[in-house]
Amino acid sequence: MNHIKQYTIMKRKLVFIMGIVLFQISFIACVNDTKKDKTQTNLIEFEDEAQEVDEKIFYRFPSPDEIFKFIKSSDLQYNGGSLNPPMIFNKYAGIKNQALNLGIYISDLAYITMFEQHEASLEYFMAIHGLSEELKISAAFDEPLVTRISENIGNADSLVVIASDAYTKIVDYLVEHEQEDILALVSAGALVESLNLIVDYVDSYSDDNTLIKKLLDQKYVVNNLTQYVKQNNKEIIDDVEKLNVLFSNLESVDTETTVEKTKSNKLVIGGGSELSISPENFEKLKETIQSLRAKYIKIE
Amino acid sequence: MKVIILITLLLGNLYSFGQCTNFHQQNCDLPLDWSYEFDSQSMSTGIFPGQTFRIKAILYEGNDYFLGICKQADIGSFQFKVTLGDIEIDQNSAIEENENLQYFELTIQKTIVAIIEVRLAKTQNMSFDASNLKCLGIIIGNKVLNESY
Repeated sequence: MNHIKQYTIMKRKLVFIMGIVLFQISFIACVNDTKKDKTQTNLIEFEDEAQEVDEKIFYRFPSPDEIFKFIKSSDLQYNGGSLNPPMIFNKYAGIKNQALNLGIYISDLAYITMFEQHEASLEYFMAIHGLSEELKISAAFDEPLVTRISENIGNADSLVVIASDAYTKIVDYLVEHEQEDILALVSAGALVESLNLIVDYVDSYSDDNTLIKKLLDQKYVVNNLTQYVKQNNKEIIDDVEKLNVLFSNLESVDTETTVEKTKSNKLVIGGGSELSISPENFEKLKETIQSLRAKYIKIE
Repeated sequence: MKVIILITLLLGNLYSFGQCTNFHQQNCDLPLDWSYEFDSQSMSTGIFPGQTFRIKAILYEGNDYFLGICKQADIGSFQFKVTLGDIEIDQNSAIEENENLQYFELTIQKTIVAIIEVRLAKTQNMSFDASNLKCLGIIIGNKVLNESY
């Protein structure tokens, strides 16, 4: 019996040591992947770097609270009926649905905190935390974050900052732990929900609707997300491509980009593209956003 | 003893991978009058001399932005530039706060895509091991101007 115990212990030790060795090998392999030329010249060279440069682009997109910042200076009314109810978070099963809805709840939370809906915000924080646990990424939240939420529940400005921090922490955690396939889903969920919350305010098209202009500005965000999804998670590529095609077909009047320096050394960037959309294409875009959102929040 | 060696090896490697995470949030001496909010598009990474760190971000109209690079002290020569639509702004227009931080301040009149890149110069007989990995952060700060909705 003792022999069996000793053998089991030995076996566990061996598996542990093998694990460490494999980890070391994979680390060396990763480093060697980027190795291109060990012997390089003394000179500082930039001009011939085309062959040497790692051409990877990191696609970034604004967080939902950055998309919703315009709400602060608007006279929009809070529309809680447009949000995904937080109490159903535990009904979502499977990584894809959980990650998409984590993004949706993050976006809802950003919207709620912009409107200073303190009571509702706690429920959404709990839904976000719950789905993060399901996805095994709740380590992104440290204990102080949970404490901060309960201590600041009555402070609107602090809640906006905490909500934004929560998003950043999830993004950083997923990047650091090489789970960008999940980050692609979270980001897609967040963006679709943000777009949906904007179009929900627009009952009918008009040329001078500022919200439609805000919506069209998301063209570049959708494009970055499409590139990011292509790199990291093909599961939802058809969905984001559908959106990207509609945004890419927007009418655009382009003027040359200009730059002027002010006395305080600030650069004023002018020119660029003036985007517009026809009433028919707006309806098509609105329908697509709403149907994607309905698909994502559906409990299977 | 064996356990200590194994833990040391593990921690050494994890440090190499994780040392640059949040570099821009933890290691940059921002200007004292910094009045922006950290934009979620900010990012840090570790790169080797001769490589380029490049991000594609969105700058919204009606906002002021702070675009800066923050680097560890021994990073060597580098090129820093920002491409906005059909124009390029290079580091000659940047403000140098201190030896580790250079930045631009921008007012954006129309929403635009920004490609922000930092390229490190090659160094002599450099090997691609963790000791030569350099931490670099691209800081984006945003500030909403008094926008009339």
